[in-house]
Amino acid sequence: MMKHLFRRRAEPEEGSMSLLQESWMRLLSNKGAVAGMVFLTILVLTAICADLIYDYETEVIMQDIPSRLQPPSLKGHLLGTDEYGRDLLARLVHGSRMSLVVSFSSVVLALAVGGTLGAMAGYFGGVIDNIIMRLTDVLLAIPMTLFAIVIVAALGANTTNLTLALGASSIPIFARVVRASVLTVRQAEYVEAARSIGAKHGTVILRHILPNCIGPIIVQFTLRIAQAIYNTAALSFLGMGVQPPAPEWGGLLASGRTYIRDYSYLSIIPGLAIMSTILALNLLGDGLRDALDPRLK
Amino acid sequence: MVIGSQSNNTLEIRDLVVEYRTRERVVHAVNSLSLTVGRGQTLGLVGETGAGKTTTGLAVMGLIPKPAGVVLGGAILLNGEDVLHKSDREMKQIRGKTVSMIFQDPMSSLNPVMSIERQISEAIRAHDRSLTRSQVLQKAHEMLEMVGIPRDRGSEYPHQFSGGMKQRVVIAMALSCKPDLIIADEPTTALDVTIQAQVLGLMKDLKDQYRTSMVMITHDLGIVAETCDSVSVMYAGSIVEHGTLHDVFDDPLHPYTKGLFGSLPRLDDRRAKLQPIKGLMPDPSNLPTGCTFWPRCDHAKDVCRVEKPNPTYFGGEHFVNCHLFNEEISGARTVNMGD
Amino acid sequence: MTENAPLIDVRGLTKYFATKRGLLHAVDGVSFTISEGKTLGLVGESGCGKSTTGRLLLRLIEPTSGQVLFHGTDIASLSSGEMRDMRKKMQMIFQDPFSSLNPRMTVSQIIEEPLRLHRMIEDRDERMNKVLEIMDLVGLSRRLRNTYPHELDGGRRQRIGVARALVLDPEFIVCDEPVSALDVSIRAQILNLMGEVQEQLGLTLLFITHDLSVVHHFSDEIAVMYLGKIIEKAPADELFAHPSHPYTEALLSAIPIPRLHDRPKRIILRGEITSPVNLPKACRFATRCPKVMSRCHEEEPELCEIGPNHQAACFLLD
Repeated sequence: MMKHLFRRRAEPEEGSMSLLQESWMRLLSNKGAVAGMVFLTILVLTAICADLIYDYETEVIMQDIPSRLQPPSLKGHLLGTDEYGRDLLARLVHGSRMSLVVSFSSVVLALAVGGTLGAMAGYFGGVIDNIIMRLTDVLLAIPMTLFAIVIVAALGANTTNLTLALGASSIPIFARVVRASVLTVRQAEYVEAARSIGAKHGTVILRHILPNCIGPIIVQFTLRIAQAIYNTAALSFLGMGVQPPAPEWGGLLASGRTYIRDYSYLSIIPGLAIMSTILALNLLGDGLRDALDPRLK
Repeated sequence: MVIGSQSNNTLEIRDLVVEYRTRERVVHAVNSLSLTVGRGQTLGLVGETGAGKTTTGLAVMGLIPKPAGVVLGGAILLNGEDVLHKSDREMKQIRGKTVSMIFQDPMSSLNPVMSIERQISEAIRAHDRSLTRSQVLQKAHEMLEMVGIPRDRGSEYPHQFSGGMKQRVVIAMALSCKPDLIIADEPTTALDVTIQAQVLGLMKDLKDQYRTSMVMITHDLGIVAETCDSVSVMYAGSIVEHGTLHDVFDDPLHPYTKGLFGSLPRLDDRRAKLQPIKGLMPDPSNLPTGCTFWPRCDHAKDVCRVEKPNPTYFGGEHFVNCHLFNEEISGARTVNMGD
Repeated sequence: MTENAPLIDVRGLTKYFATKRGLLHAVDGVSFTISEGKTLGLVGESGCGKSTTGRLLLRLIEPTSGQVLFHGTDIASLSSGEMRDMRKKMQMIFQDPFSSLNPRMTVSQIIEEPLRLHRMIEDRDERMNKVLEIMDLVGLSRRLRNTYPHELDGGRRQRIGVARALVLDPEFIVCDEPVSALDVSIRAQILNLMGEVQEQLGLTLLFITHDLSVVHHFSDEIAVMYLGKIIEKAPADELFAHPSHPYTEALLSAIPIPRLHDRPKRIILRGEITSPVNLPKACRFATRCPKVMSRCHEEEPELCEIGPNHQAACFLLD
């Protein structure tokens, strides 16, 4: 195993592992990436099993005024209760669902649309490039929050619209990142070589250009997810996102704000959750970028 | 040997060892290399990629990239003075004043946002604070004209010059403080043939005019034939053969030197099949034991695999580091070679 | 032996690029033929249009005007589907073995790709057999098939490039400076390999290079380009024995020769290649020519016959 990880240039050996296997091995050798991966796996599993851990109706949204604002303790509520006496841990666990679903799906949407546009702009250049990039410039010129508010206000505040709004605001970012990488990679002789052996445009883009742009795309992907979690929080705070009493990390953070002087745990704990998730995503993203590059063996 | 005894040599390198250390491996870039450059002489340092030519040049300049690069031993004497133990401040004075380097890519030594006359002026002022501003500019213009660039182009920026012209600017900068030694690292590799001819002609003229010594680092034996007085052939960080131009070109002895000549297409007989050296350059982090060339050598014997060869001299400065010659200095030296 | 019909017949090939400063004459009315099984060497300094010519021949860029006839078919008139079929017969070997191979594909994937794209061999095992055969042919050890290009040295990488060009059994290959990025001893290995393969498979080659000693060694015929035009063309030995155009003379004399005796006298040219943008109607070499006459600044010389198979474009030779 180690032999493959530290392969020498001058003495290549018979490669017996597939690209995926090798990437996986490289990913496992990166401590940060493994930590990020473990954290995210636990998080995702918790989100999926949330209903098994805490009952939504009775434990997450049902108010229990007598036990309001109890600080975290090992005996009663592990992470304490909020101003309506709801268990913070239960709300955090259920809130992770909303935060993850909205942020992931909005970024995937943005990557699909923005990535395609950017790849086309970078590869074909000329008029196509100009049209696409001017359109995304228009999107970029509108302040993200304002844009999301407009969409949510016009179409109504629900999860789908929230996802659309957040996704749309990330499209120009992905278009730009992908276009820039495509422009660099397009210059490489192997792209011309692919054309000289008779590859069609689609093959050239999908097989030769995009795989070599993966690094910046992955980094941007993880960064944007972090951004999306944060933006969901901002919108929820403004009342445009997830509607109370449904829990969402940003919403929890926002409502805890009122009590920050005396009950700071109400905002610190959701904040920590958001921060750790973002950190884990970044660690995993960096690790993935390196693991997927065969040159970094 | 007493360090600092002779000073009729501009440059003397003795048993230089340089390594690059990274977390995973140690690259043995220069292994016990010795060479001398006499006053006003040009030495050709010939070898392929990874032979350690540039590292040798950087070591003389005190510019080995740190912290990966480590000079492990040996001595580098410039005008009889050991420069390996100089402080950074002292080296700054030595660079430019005593020794200058010309790199393959002229843009690596030119600042893109500074006019060329200012760059040359700065090089002059760095070593001579006594001159006034206008004197310095005057001198910069003289240097430009000397390398064949009209003085009114001095206010232009590097990107406005072609590759050949940029290399002329770099030469002007390198010569501006009249150094005793110039290290030219593949100075014409990036240039076209006709421009290369111009630049080489210029370098030769200037060198004669200033009586500067020069180390010409190159992979092109044609350039060596054109510009050098003596040749050192480098392989895997050490010198395998050294001699005057005539020694090496008329009577190459080391199998590697012969292989280099055999790899070149012949202009007098285009149908002659090329005789390449088999195999590849060794991995410098994992050098073969004994003679580093043995895995590629057609004449390798058992002793070659275990023991490093010692130099065998053939009159004058011509020597070879090869076991084929170690035991037969007494005359029959071409017996094993089968030319 | 009678002269074969040329495999490649290039007529008045022209490519202009529109730039901010004006029209760039990259290739300007280039005509030549290459007979089957022969090698034409295309020499010139950077910016003379030799690489553009090679790419025009394979229609990797579209010509402004002129024709490229392959077996008598003008490839510029083909639809993109027909052109894709045509690419099976014409291939290219690139200059830089470090950038011409996709770093994310293994050696066998790279060599296999042309076969997959053209659906030549559908069966996976058969296809892999073909790849291994080609690897044997170019001297790549079979155990390297699953390695990535970055693990290999320049010489082996260039062998992959050669293998990729050969796997479709093409008739014609454009070699764009195939050895200029390689070390001397490795260069000789690749040149020998290409010579052997050409002989074995009866390939027709266009060999583009700036290295005159290499082109002399490798080509049957040599065309010298200067600023988008062919200024002299002759069989290799004839060109080196009797260079006629003043530029060819200077170019040949500028080769650094690795020997000490009977070195030819150098002709050092003044100045540098002029920019190929907005060229005046005059001999393109007039600004640097040591033998320039007043006529050279007024008219442009045509390529004309000055000996058997020997053509040059210079008023001195009229």
